[in-house]
Amino acid sequence: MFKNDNNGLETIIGPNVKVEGDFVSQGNMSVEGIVSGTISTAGNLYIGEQAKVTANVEAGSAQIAGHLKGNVVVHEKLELTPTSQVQGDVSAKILVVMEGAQINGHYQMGSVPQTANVKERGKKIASAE
Amino acid sequence: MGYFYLYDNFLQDRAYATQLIRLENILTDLSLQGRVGRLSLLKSIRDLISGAVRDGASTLVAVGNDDTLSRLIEVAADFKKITVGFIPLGTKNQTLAKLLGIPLGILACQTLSNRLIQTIDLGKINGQFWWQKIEGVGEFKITIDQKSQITLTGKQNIVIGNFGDLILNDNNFLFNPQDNLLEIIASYQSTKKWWKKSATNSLSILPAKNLKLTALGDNILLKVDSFKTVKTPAIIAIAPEKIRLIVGKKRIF
Repeated sequence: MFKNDNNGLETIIGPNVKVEGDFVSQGNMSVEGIVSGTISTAGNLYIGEQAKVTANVEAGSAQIAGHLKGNVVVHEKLELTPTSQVQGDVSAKILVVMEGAQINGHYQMGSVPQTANVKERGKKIASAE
Repeated sequence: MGYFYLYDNFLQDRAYATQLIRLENILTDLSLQGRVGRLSLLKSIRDLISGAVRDGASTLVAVGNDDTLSRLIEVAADFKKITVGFIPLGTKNQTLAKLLGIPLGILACQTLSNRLIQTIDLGKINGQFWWQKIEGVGEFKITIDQKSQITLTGKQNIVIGNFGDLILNDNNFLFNPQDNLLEIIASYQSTKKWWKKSATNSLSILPAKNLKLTALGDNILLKVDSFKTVKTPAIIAIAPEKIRLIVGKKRIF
């Protein structure tokens, strides 16, 4: 695996970067820039304070600190920090909403059906162990 | 198993004469002797290598520095069932030997003799092979795997890597040439302005298998493997498990 100094993050979308389209990853992802389309990662997703995301999002686990317009599906833990603003429906196994966080949409807690991307990652982790 | 040794041009200097005699003696002792081709301004590397392969060489060994090995790999990738070795001679421009776990100088003959082989990915840019990294500075638009479009604004240092290490704005990276992926690393460092406390530093890392790199303004010159240049727009792709490389036990990948 590619090695770097950034806490095992395999994909980083920096502040001066704009992404349009479908973005699929197996690893951990951090978004600080502008994204429109869809984001799917089987790993952890972090959406930073300055990030502006207009996308449907699916992730293994996620922490949201910035703006997100779109539906969110998280298979494990979703954490919304005080600066987060989510416009869309939220679905997560475990949901943590901190004081100041905003959700404009429906939310659902409990197990979420796994998609192919997440299942593939699960198999990889199991075979590595 | 025929060996072909590609000597770099700089080895014609008298300073290397004794070292080359010792090298040839050791190779004979280890039964690794083979035909020698010497690079010069008048000889094309492609002609030397295709001649050697036609005559039955299946192991091509670069004798020289990083550029010698990179130039050899670029051409050798066009042939099937070829193994590439490296004997790093001289002290300048020798960064790859450490990454490949090969000792400098004639000690590398032992690594060659051990024949520990790893198959690695290469990259392609506009149909030509490359293996370490592509570098450029400017504003870019990248289409990744025909699915997503990335716009990089500001003066970005962009590196597309397959093999080797990289230090960019105090961040260390080590590319893996066996993961069937290229990594796009873009770094933007704004200059400090009087109204700002400090310069901002932003980093992006994006994995990709196929990409199209276009400059947002005028075409930009990209440096490929530190020895050649290609202009944008460029079609870049991974070429998985493309070459067999003789490495040492202490390799760093």
